[in-house]
Amino acid sequence: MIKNPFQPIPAKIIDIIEETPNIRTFVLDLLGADFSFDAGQFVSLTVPGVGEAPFTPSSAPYVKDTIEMTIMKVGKVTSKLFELPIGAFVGIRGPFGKRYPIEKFEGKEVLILGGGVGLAPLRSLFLALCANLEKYKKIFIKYGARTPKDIVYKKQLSEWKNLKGVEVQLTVDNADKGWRGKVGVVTILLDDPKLNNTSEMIAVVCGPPIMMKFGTIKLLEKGFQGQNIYLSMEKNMSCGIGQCGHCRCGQYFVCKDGPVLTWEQIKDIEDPF
Amino acid sequence: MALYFLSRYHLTGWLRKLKEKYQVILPQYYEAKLYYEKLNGENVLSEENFYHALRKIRPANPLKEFFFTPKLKVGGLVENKAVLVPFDDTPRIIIGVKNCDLHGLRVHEKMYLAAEYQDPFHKHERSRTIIISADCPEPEETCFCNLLDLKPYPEIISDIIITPITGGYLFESISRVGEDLIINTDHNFRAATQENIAERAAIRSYALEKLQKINQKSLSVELSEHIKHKTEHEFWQTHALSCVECFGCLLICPTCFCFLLYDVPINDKGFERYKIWDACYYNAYARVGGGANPRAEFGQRFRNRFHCKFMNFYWEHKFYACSGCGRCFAVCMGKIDIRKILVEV
Repeated sequence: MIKNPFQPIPAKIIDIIEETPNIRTFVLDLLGADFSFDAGQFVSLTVPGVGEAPFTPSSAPYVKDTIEMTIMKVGKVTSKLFELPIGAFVGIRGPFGKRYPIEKFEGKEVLILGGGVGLAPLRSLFLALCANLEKYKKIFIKYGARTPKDIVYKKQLSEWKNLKGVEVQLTVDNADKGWRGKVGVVTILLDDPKLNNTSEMIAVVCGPPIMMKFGTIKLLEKGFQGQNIYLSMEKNMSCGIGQCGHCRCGQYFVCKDGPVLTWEQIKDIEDPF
Repeated sequence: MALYFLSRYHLTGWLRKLKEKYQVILPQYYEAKLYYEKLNGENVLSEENFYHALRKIRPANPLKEFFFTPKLKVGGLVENKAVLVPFDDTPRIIIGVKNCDLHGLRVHEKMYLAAEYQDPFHKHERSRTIIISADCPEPEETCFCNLLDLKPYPEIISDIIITPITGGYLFESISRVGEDLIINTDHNFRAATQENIAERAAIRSYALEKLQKINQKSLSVELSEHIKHKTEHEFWQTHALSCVECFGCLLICPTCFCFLLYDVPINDKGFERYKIWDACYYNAYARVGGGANPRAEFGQRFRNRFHCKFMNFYWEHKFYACSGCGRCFAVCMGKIDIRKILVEV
């Protein structure tokens, strides 16, 4: 009998980290299941009796017993998930989709451009890169949030700054009294004289559709090559195996062919974001 | 493999024998319309009805419902244990399948069986089914398989092909399973004559000619490119104007493959997961949890159906995800004729 791709396995919530007022990181115990993922792949998370939604894990792919997902409360499934306490059970299915081809990043400068909760999958990628940090020329993390209180992973971001070969820059759309950093949308961080070898650089982008769109436009203006711009094209991914049709984006099923696609792959699709 | 003849007189006897071993599904009349239906209980339809039904075009319901069930339990978790889904192992035979429905099955094969992840439910339904397809001798006004380079007689996926001819039926065994079914179930089959075979050839020529008369405007050989470049929103909006958004065209389509996974709670102990037919015309179809919808306007969703069937699927598999069966246009309350759009695009 072949494996049933629609059947989830149980997982237990063992910790809930409040990142912002509407974003939490859920730490799941995989209960000894044979389950692993690569950075870039996504997982379908079931809230029992409510439904399923796709999320890209935010934890390091080399950690095997637990998995972390940083989730914003936006719809039916996530609203119910936010009501669950530590100790509750959920279901997971996957992993699905393709991984980041991180071997292609070796010897290069890597720009990680994130917006809002979009930093979650990028954290998983960053942690994967950190396992062999010396292999990459430099890593720039440029991250924007709406307000200072909407910044996720505050503690980790300040720790990552101290890593050799890693540079972290933040901006907020709207500052509050205590904010000393940059103010403006995340694309202003691309006006950085240190980004001077853009035709060779890798850019990895994840954020809301509007940020992805204008981020890509600016990266291209700055000289990044389409095949070096990796975009998280998350759509309504349901089955995860390229059959149900919901995540269709041009000729791709995002769940199977993505969720990360390069600009080169999607540039001919009318309004891909 | 081989060609046989069975007289009209012996047909019902053969069906009765099949029914002893198999669940038999074939086109049957219900209020003057044909439907694929199980042959139930003692009900063995009359040979006259069978002969008549076989000469008609495809039944009203699509063949896909026997392989891609409209609502199917596919799993779940109750008290953290996987919900087991029982499989029906009854062997079955579907008789009278036209080439348009075989083509629909071919599309589903590409989607569910050729992929990296196979659908175990679809695979199981295929494995327990023998397909006896049939010629389509009298195409009707809604038929347009010829525009899509398909023939009004079976070309693929059949175990046996059956053609009603003078005085009986011509049987062509295609697979070993089909050949065994003929030689082992009834001793009334005899070798087909050259006359029988010539009659089938004539029936096929006539059907092709009739289709050519029905559909005189051919489609461009670069249809997928025309659709890709048809970006004017007004074109799609105008054609979608009379659509009442009942989505009957997509649900009855033998090639449409979209489904929705939805969970039903089980007494606070867990949930069962179901797979149900879905349609890309629904507003919420592509909408994400946060509310963003890449195809928020109906015109965009209307166009997506053409992108899916005649562009994206074609690019990947080199044939269209449309069989020309005409069901979409037959059920359409807004009288939207897909052929008109394909010619105009």
